[in-house]
Amino acid sequence: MIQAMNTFEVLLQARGGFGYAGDDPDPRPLPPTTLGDLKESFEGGLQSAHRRRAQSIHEALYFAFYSDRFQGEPDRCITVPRDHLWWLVSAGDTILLSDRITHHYSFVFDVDRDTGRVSFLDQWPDRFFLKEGLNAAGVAAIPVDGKPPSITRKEFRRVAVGLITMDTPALLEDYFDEYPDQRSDAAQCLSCGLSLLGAQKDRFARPAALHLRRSMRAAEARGDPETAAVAAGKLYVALTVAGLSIRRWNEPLASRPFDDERSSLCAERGREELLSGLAPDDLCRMGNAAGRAGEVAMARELFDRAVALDATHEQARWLRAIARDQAGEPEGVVHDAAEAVRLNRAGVAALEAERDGLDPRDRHGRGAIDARIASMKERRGEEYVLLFRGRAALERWDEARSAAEDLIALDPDRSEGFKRLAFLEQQLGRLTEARACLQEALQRETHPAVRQALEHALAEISP
Amino acid sequence: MKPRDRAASSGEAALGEIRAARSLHQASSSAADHRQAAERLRGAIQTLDTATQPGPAFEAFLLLARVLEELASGGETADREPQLNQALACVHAADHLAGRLEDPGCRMRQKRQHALILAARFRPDRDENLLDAIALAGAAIRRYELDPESDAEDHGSLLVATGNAWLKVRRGRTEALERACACFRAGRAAVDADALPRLAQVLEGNLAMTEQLLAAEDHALPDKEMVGRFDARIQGCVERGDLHEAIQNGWSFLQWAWSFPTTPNIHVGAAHKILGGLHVRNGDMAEAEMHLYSSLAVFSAVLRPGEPEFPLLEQTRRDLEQFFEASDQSEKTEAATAQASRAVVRAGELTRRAAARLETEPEAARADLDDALRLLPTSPDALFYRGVSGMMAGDDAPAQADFSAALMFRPRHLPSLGNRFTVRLRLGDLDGALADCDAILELDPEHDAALYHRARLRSGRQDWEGAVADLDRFLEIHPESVESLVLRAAAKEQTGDVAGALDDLVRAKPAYTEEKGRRKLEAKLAELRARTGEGPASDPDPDAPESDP
Repeated sequence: MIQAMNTFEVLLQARGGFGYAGDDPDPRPLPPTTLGDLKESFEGGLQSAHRRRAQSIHEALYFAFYSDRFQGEPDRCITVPRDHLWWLVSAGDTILLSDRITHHYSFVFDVDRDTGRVSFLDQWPDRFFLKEGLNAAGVAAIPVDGKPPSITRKEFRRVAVGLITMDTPALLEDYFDEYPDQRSDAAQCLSCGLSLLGAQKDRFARPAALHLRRSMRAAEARGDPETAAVAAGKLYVALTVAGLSIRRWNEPLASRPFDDERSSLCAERGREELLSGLAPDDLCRMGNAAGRAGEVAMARELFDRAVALDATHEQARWLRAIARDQAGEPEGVVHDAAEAVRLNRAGVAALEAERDGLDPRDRHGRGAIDARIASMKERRGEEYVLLFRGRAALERWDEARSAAEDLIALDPDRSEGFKRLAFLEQQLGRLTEARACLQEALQRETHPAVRQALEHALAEISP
Repeated sequence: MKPRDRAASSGEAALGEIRAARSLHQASSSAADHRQAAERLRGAIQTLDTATQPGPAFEAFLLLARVLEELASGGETADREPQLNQALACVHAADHLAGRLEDPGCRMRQKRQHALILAARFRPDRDENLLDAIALAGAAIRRYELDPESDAEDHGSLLVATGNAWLKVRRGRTEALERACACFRAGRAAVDADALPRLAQVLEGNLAMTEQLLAAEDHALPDKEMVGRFDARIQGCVERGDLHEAIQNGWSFLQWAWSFPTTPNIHVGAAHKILGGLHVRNGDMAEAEMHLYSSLAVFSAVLRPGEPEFPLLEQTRRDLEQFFEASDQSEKTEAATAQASRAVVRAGELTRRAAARLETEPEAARADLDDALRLLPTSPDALFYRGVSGMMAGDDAPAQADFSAALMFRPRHLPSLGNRFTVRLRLGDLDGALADCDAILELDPEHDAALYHRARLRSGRQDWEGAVADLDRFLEIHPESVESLVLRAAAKEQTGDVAGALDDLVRAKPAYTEEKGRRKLEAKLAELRARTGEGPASDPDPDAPESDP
């Protein structure tokens, strides 16, 4: 397991911690946050750390586990028998504790399996509700061996609701090796597969397939066709994504096991049947993988299905615009990209309204929505580029100019919009204006190769 | 024939191909046989229905991954990455099939192969592969330990690869070295030295080396690893199209190579080779020629037939030949190649002779050094001594150029920095002189001459606080230095520390025996005392007899 001690928490403790919001005369109401919500927010941070190369284990992802005493979130968290949480818990985990009156997130400092104690690095150690007399579960957290307050394994069993841990897909293999009977638990295997698929990285589609297959077979054996159908549909997604993404290593035969199993699954259940149970997000994911693998027709079919299923699905519109651009269908590109921009604007406006409706002191909540807005705006930039390309290909120059100007207005510090405007001016024979736009682009561009290309373009049209 | 029979028949044929490929792989280590084995395995996979025959498909993919990894390890550098990527794809396919088989033994073998490929594919600019390799290897090793029937050679070689992977981890160096040691020790315990003598020897050697590094608290990365890192950095710049940065990284590589106790060495040759290639790409033909020629000269001097790197010599000779051809200078090839073969040795002899007669026969020494640099223009020793020769003859500008050139190769060479400081001072390049003092003090913070000269230069720039700081350190080393006391007094006065200035001058006063100097000093002391409010009373003269109160 990855021992990810929470450095931030340690520093925070050392410096006296945060103020306790409950001490405010008018404390803000806490937004309800499930383990699944929190896991997704951590996952966002992890992806960003991967991009910044701050996280060096490629296979790392977050898993959330619920004790089966509680109603979990089976599509994004894994429910396990309550005793299994003790096997899963490790230092650095985020843990949800409850005495059925107070529900509290804390951090695991250390797990001593020899003495059977788990200690917590809490943000407010003096008020930690598991200290004696502060909870209704009869738990008495005490400091042992100079560590922060700890509780026994028995007490842990009483108060642990669930936990979030960072690990690799191997954790699930190790878990099933430890508890082999769980392999026949269709619901649990399905949750494992969905957790891996939900991490949105193609590399996890392969291990996801293992759990989804087990889930499907276990549900079939138990006579649970509903779970079997869901697992089969998701297995189809996992096999498709894994089979397509493995092609990037340039060994054409390597996709055979995935393709063969997918064909066998289709023969067993029918392709239409499998696809009809999928959500637009699943279809987009497969379409995206197909597009990246150069399977343009397949991508196009999947995006068509996604749009047919939900015409207001922005991502489906955007991805189909890309596919249409690759296929040289500018009319279609303009149509989908314009619709995607419209949906994006509406989505951002809705998020802004949601953010503005939050308590002003809820900085975390507002920050999370701001991050989503930023990501949507980033996508809108790409949608403008597509819109520009489509309109330019149709020689609708005024409309193309408007797309480029929208792109500049969206992100004036980037070169993208100016590059498009330069192209447009050049096409219209307005070389002075084209040069000015290229200069503007050069001022903003930092990538050496792109700068070189811009300089080259500028030299070509210089008098 | 019914479809099921056809499947069974193709399955039989595929199994036959897999068996044949395995025999070929086990019987021979030649690349041609490995390539043939790979083709047979590909043929077998093509005929298999992996959905109904996951077992044979697993074996075929796993063996194909192994063969490709071994081909990559022994082949041309250019093929290495694509072959390792193909191996990675095969091992992923095997992983999927192992999941279908639900067989722990298959999973263990798959993880082992996966770890080996990731370790072989490791590039420092994507360090995660190494940690992934270590994690996978850890999982496989646990299973090997649980299975007493497992293949000792596979187990031992995995422990070697894992230990080597730990050796490359830069963060948490001591822990990484300890973990490497643990792997090598576990390998030694798992491998029977009589049955697998070569593997046992590798484990012993690696363990001894790592224990030595730990004992010496040597946290430097192994040479091979450093070379890999420079290579990857340069490659990354080239891929980004940033040749300028790539050339700078090439120079860092060359400087690292010159930092070894034994120079020139193979790394010096390799760095020149890389720089030559980069300058060709950049269109700097003169620079490219110099580096390619130097590379050939260095390789000629350091590589011996039979050494694994010996083919580099021939490769570099071809590079230079192609370079001359491409730049329409083919006529130079023969002479340059012949000259390069003895250039390092001959240039070394000439430099040593010149150094010995710099004072007695300066002109002859200078001629020797010019000859040495004609033979090897990238010799920092010859450049340094020619700088000294110029300095002695008063040719400060060329001397400065020679010291600067020598410092390009050895930026931490104190004598070059010191001499360049002197000639820069003579040339009136005070900024340059100050920069040299800074560089010297960075290498040796207690370098007294640099401290003193930097204090003077800082005073000249009215950086009084800087000057006082340098003189404080200098006077800790030489508390009796009167000149420094006077200099510090002047600097302190400028910073407003009149009392400090007064104190320094009082300490300096006994050394002033000459009348005029003493009078001037006393006048200054009186002025300072007046400013501090001590009045005109003279300071206690240590030489004067004590008077009654």
